[in-house]
Amino acid sequence: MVSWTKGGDLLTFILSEILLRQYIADAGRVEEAERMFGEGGVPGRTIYHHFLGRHPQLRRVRPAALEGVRAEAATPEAVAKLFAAFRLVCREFGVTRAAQVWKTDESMMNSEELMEGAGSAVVTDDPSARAEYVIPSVQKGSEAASLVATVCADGSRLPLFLVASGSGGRFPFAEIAQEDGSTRRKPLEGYLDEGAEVHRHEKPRFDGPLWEVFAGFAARHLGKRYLAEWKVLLIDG
Amino acid sequence: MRAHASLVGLRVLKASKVVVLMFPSHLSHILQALDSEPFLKTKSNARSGMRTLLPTIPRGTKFNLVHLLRFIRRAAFTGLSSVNVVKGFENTGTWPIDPSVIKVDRLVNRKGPVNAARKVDLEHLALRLGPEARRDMREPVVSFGSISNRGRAIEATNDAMLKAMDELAAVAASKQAAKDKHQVAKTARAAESIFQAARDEVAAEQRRCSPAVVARKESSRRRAARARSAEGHVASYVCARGAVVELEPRPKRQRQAAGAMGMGGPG
Repeated sequence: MVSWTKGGDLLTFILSEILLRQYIADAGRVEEAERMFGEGGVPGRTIYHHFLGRHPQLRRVRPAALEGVRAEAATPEAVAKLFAAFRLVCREFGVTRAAQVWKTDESMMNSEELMEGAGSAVVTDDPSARAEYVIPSVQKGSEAASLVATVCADGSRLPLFLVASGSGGRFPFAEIAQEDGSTRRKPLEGYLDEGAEVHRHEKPRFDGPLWEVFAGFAARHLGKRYLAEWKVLLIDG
Repeated sequence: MRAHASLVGLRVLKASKVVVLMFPSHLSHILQALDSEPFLKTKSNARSGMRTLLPTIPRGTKFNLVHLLRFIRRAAFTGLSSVNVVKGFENTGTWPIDPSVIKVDRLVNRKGPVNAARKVDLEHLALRLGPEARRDMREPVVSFGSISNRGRAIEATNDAMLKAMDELAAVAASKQAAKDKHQVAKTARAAESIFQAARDEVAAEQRRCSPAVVARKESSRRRAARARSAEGHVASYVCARGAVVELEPRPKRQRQAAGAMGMGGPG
């Protein structure tokens, strides 16, 4: 296993099991292995843990799923061309400081998903016990929000730009349902940073018209910084 | 390019001295500075923030937008901190610009044995591909009605790109106008046919109510009444003695067909 990974190759547990079984068969020690490790003649998980403990250079890595189209698009040429283009832009527009480099992206915050993932482990002496916790139902229009962050390479960032589900464009108030069935309006500025904006959209994500609104928002804030200098904004394709 | 960036937005940014550089498509998992650290931490903070927020929501109260914004703000405060943001840029090599940060294994593995055996130095490759990158980022390539950024970075605020986007927008607008015109004509035809049906109905009604037709109806009604009074009382059906009534056999109706036509009777 150690020699397999020396060249930088990844080794799955299934492959290591096959390799070990092949090695035992080649050495003619199948009976001995079955006697030691039980039926199948392959060591269990504990022995693997001990083995990894004896070889600290080996690490367990959890694989992440990658879409086929991304795997195909990620070529050294595409990445190298991006860096070449970025350098050219920096040279031509005099981008020399971290304060001139910005990046924007969005991330979806789903209320129910976050609430469901918020449970913490509990301790019990009853092995059949089921631990459950109650989560509140979600008011309409609060199911999810898209968080658009615009950050600078110097560590600063613009105020948040949020897209919540609903309709009506820019949204300065939230309508809170009361216990008696009535609704109350609360200004949103108090709950976010100064200058932050919340927009309502049928689906809480970006599209062409909303991108225009965001561009205006970004231009307003970026235009205030280092007036004489060009800034480069990196966005996803 | 089709999904987000709009011509107006790009012009507004350019007017504020902002150059927009668009990444090649499907590479954000390698080059996205925000995904690598800041958003990861923001999500993790959001989950732990939710853990502390949930007990403070009174029973019977719904989770509302204020709750959502409150924990997004808290999560973003720690997740999008200066340390995480700077680390995100460093991890992706986007500032300071350093292609050597990118692990080449991720780019060559799973692409066949020829690629797997390649020894790539991204720094040298970037230098070598400089002229090609310069041409690609300012030369718009239109694919499926939008500017393609497959395998190439794009300077979206460049004049050539804006002009190409302008032309694409004009083409899209003319297509939309033609579509709208066709739709308007279709709606007008439908309205005309409805109007014609209404006109026919009115004409038929007018014919039915015209004095000549009414007089003719009245006259035939009177004639029938006169004939009935001349005949006297006539039984509606007289059964002649010894006559045999033969009925024609009626075809049996299909139950299913009758049901399907909405004619199914009780039973």
